[in-house]
Amino acid sequence: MAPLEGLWGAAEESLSRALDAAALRQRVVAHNLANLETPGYRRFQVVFEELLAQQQARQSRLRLSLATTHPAHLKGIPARPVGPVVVRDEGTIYRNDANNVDPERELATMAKNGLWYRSLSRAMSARFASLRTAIHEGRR
Amino acid sequence: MAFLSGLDISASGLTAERLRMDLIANNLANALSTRTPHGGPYRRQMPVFAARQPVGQVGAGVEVVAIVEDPSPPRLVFDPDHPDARPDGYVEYPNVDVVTEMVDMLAASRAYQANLAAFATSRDMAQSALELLRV
Repeated sequence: MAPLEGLWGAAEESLSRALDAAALRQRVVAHNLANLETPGYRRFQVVFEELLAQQQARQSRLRLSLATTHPAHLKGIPARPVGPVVVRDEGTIYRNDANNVDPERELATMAKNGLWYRSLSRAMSARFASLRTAIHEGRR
Repeated sequence: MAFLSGLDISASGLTAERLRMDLIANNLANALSTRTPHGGPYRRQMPVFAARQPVGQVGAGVEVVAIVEDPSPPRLVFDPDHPDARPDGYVEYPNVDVVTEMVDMLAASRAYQANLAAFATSRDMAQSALELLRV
């Protein structure tokens, strides 16, 4: 990754994390739908956007980074990358077999998530396209 | 392969619902079968679904761990002329309730469609990821 250090910026990093989270959410929804008729099964869900928003809110509060005039000075709290978390939904039960997978809800999540994934991958390919332009135009 | 494991997960759901559909079809076909190889009338068969243990954070779909027979008693119909009638004149018919089977069939069909939709979405997502390589 070293030669691409300057090319792979914060935007690409965020996009790739969000793409990972969306891909994970798709697998979780597929798992929930596969277990639509499994007695006692409880649905899983992916928490990511909330965690990212929390982290960004925290970072914007800490925008004034500490001045470091000596190598031993502390740089403040380094941003730890946020990853998606899979949590089990134990709360809702609406069927006699204690299964709480609601197919409409899962399908809606899946449709939204699929569109979200496509827009993220479009954004990613737009980043790649501008990198490509930069590389090719430099040759002329 | 994690990139395409969404397809495997949905495929496990499709397989399970398909098997359930086969059992329902078999139940309906045998709704009046009074003879079976092990004696007595046919008994309604049901699949037992279990969630597959997670690989990492995400589960790996569903599997049918067993096919069990409905232990409820056979349906008795008074028909002394039937070749399988008991000495008291009653015939033991399978404990298959056609209406229950029909309801289960609709549920299985909808669940199959839901898994198919998940399969299609996983495939579309994989495709849009592959398009990143074509910039």
